[in-house]
Amino acid sequence: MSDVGSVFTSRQVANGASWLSAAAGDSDVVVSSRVRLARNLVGHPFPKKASRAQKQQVMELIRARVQRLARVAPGDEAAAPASKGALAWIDVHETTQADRMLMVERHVISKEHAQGDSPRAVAISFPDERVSIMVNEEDQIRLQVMCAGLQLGAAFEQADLLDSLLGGLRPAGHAAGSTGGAGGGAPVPDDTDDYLRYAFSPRFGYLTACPTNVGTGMRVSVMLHLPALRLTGEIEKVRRATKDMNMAVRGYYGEGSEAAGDFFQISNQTTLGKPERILLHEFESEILPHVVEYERKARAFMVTKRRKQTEDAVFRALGTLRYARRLTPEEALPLFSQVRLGILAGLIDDVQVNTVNQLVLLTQPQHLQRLLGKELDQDKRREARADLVREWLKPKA
Amino acid sequence: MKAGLPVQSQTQISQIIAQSIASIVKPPEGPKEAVEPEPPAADVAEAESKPLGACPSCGMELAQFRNTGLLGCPECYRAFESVLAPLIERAHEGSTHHTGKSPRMGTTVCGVAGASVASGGAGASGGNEKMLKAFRAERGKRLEVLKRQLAESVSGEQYEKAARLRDEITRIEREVQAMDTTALSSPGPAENAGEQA
Repeated sequence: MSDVGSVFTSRQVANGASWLSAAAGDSDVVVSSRVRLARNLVGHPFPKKASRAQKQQVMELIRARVQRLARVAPGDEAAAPASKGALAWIDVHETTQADRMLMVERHVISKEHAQGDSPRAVAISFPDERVSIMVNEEDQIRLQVMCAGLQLGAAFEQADLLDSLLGGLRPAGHAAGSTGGAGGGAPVPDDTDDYLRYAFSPRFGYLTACPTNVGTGMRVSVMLHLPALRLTGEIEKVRRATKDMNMAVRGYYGEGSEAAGDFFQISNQTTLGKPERILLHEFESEILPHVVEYERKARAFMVTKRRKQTEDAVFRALGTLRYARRLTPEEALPLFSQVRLGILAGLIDDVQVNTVNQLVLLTQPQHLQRLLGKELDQDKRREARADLVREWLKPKA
Repeated sequence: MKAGLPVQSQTQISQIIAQSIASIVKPPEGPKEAVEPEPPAADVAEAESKPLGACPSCGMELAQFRNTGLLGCPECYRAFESVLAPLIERAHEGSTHHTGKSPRMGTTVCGVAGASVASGGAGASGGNEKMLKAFRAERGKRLEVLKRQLAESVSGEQYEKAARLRDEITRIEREVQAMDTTALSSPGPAENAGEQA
């Protein structure tokens, strides 16, 4: 298992993911933010209904436009703001199974996108992996921008701009060859002719394969770490409240997954009827702050009123991670969650939050195998996982 | 230590749609059920009075949509509009129309498409008002639904639910108010667009 021909270098894998960096705002509770836009082209069937040739055709149209953007992107902040690298195009159906799983673990493609051999692709912004554009998933285009901590506004601005650029708008004041910033004004119609003609209806907005995504085609989501709310038993209230506000709650690994290790994803269900910025505003200013504050209060309660129990739980978790010789993912994730709580509550002071965040990513099966440079069976992976965790969490002498 | 809570899947709304579609496109078999919990009466009547064929563009049939929850192509929205419209409305909290970004006009501060086109201000303002009007109509409709639900919760003594509904009503009323203020004080499309950071 070498780097040759692989989507990722070993260094990229070992460096973890930028969206798990703990430096961003509110990252004590909000692990990461994501904005996703669904788009399709006029006159082409949705991927599920399309033939191989039709999918190939759609892919070529999108590839041409993405690569045109990629050519202007390096060093051009207007075309690719906050994304220093260019967009790299990857034909997913031609990659190895190992690479596909790596991309799934790094959240740049979905599990569904990793399966099957029909023409499909993803464009990823390297090295930050903030932007990923899946081609021929459930919709022809699934454009996502993912950031660390609570940065929904930034994620939206970038997704919105990239979407505009793909769909025939360019930033105001951004004449060909100019390097003017994108913040200077709204996009204006593109004068070139290879832009993507999006399927759009004045009534239903952007047309998507599933009517639940129609309208803005926008899904806003955050990954939250809510250990104290679960420990105090109040997580059910949050679940009910978010459900009442038409939000979906899912686990760390997305759709249909368990909320393992107290990591929860919350996203909007409704995509039609509200303008993007209002949807975003409601999510970021009216829903999230309540949950974040609620968790913080619960953490404060755990540390003051139930200090001994909390200390006992977090140090037991740290002890297990520091000395275990075999670890399953199911055992490791809740332990990481406890240790993360311990650090943020000020109980553990010799481990960084960032270390735990990245371990959550790096201890997944494909990451472990790439780090060790060889295929491992389940048994060997358990040992390798424990070895890696022990190494990273070694007490300072 | 337990691994966590079982969480609700995103597919739930798709399932609602699939079920609703099933009730629409399935031919009535035998005696009709006496009680339907939430009768999609209007949809059924519409669908039965005017049977819909396959989508002329991709050949997708409603029965297939029922099974997968996915449409075949953008044209399906036109071909099945009479059936889709009420389903979409139910899936999107009573919303019936898009009020956000559009491909050739982009987004704006208050989301009114058209205001962001720096080079066409005069032409776009008419569109803005139309969009605003549509948005207000949407909110008005949503408020009606919420107020009815509020009255029901109060009479049913579900006070916790009533309180939440009241909050939602207040929120929407403020939102409409805010939109009106934004629209009135809008200094012009070009200036407007850069505000949101």
